[in-house]
Amino acid sequence: MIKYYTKVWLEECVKRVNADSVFEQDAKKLNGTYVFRVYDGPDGKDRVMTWVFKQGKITDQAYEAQTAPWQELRSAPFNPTWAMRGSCPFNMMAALNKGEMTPMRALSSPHYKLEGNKMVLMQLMRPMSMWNDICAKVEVTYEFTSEDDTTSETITAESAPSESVSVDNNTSRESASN
Amino acid sequence: MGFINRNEVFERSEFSFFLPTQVKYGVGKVAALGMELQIEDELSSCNNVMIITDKGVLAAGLVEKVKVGLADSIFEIKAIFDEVPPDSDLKIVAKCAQEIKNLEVNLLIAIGGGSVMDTAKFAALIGTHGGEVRDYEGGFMVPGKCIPIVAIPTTVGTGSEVSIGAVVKDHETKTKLTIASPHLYPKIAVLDPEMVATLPAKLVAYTGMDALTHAIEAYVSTENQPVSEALALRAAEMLYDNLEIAVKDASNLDARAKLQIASMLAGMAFSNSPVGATHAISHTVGGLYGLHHGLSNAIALPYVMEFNLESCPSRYAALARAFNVIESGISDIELGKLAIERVRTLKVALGIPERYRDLDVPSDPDTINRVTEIALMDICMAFNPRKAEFAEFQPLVEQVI
Ligand SMILES: NC(=O)c1ccc[n+]([C@@H]2O[C@H](COP(=O)([O-])OP(=O)(O)OC[C@H]3O[C@@H](n4cnc5c(N)ncnc54)[C@H](O)[C@@H]3O)[C@@H](O)[C@H]2O)c1
Ligand SMILES: [Fe+2]
Repeated sequence: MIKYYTKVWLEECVKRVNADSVFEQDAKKLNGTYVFRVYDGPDGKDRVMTWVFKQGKITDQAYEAQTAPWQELRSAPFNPTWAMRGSCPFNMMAALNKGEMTPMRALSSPHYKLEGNKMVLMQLMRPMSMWNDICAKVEVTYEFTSEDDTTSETITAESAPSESVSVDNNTSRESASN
Repeated sequence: MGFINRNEVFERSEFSFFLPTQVKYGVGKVAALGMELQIEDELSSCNNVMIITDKGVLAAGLVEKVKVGLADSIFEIKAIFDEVPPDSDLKIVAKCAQEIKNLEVNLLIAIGGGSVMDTAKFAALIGTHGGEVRDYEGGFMVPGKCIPIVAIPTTVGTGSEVSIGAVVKDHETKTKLTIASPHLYPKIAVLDPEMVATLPAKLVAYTGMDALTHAIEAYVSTENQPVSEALALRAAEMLYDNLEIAVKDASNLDARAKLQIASMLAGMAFSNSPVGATHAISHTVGGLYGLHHGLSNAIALPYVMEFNLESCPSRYAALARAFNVIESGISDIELGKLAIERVRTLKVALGIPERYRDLDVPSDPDTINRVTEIALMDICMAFNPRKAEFAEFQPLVEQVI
């Protein structure tokens, strides 16, 4: 089974989101770069996932994992050209994905950090929750060890095979602006 | 460095401010309503009017003034809908929307407090786009423009006449539903101090404390920004200076007029810098035990200020200045504590009980835990300057209850 918050999961999500015609229709306002930092995975790794949207289509994505605590990732400043960055422990992200925790509950927690213009994000609530729902339907396992996940290398979409989304906001790729 | 603010580093990389509502202020404005509305190009073809109000406002004779104001104008009153209950109601909204459709109403005049203005917002929404309120719950789910609303506030609290949101109670489940959408802003807000002259002292106190809560929570909101900051701080100052006078002397129209203006300023502020934990707790307790929204906020406010103080001391210090604290040479935390003290003293002066248990809200551990859980899921918590898990938040709720 696909392991949650791994490269394989990201690729499956991208495939499903981009194949969803209802989403495409309703998510035209979803543009720009969305970054998620997920700390302390069950395999002892920190992860970062980046999704780049253009009018509701994912045009680029990136994934990287490194042994926790990955200080460079944890201290990387927010890039103001990103639409948002969410950061939280793996367990919290998993609880959200399982529907055990509501997004509202996460937002009141000191362990979930949301960066970006919240007033703009509120306007995108509908497409963002649709995106979330599509991803939550991917069947996953949350139990895995460091041996299970061999995808700690950077991956990017075919459109930009040689690039990676750097954690340093000064060197992030062009497509990361919205 | 100024006396009020600390000239701190401006940390926001961006912000936006939105306010589509036109404001018309003046003593006797309602008596000239037809004339005022007739000059608005956008309303020239909106001749079928429904007045939305409640029994209390009707009994105070305020609807009569609207009728007089519209006499001999192009605006024809097709119906007066006066069935709005406190906190409104889902079924009443549906009934009002149906009448709007039946009578082909194309302009709503809401005269009343938040319950009335919010009913008008929901009825405009359902009357235009169909469905039911739950279909649009949350943020930015309204698909497009709604029937225009002219809002005439008669309380000094909600700021709904210039606000992005609307709240309605589902009396069956005892919960409140909130919708926020740029399409819910009224087209015009008419502020006429004569409309608040009849407001009973107790309601001046409750609704004024709601406005003060809006001002304080917008000022310390995670989304605070310079425009709403200016509006919120001025609102806080005006409310602090006038609330006690207005409650104690019903004939002081000057104080009431300033409260009316201040509640509007606070509404503009929180529509762009949303409110926090006081509202999260107040929505929960108010919904479960049927307390007036302003009263419910007033009780929780100083406790939440204490809870938040360490997360943004300079903001509470600035609020102390708005509350006429002049001590200098003390830390921001100390100034913040003085701001909280002023709010507590004001609460006592207005006759507001200290805690919810004084109003017979149960204070057993189960109730405290339930309120904590529900409040932590309220959208307002996302904008509170201090985030919290159950273990940190529960002692706050216990104190307030
Ligand atoms: N939309 C928003 O932005 C917003 C913000 C805060 C609160 N609210 C909501 O607003 C509601 C509360 O509104 P409110 O505090 O204005 O009270 P309200 O509208 O419920 O009115 C309270 C009482 O005052 C009476 N009244 C009003 N004006 C009067 C006058 N001039 N003379 C005599 N009697 C008068 C009414 O008849 C009613 O009985 C709550 O449901 C709350 O959730 C909405
Ligand atoms: Fe309020």
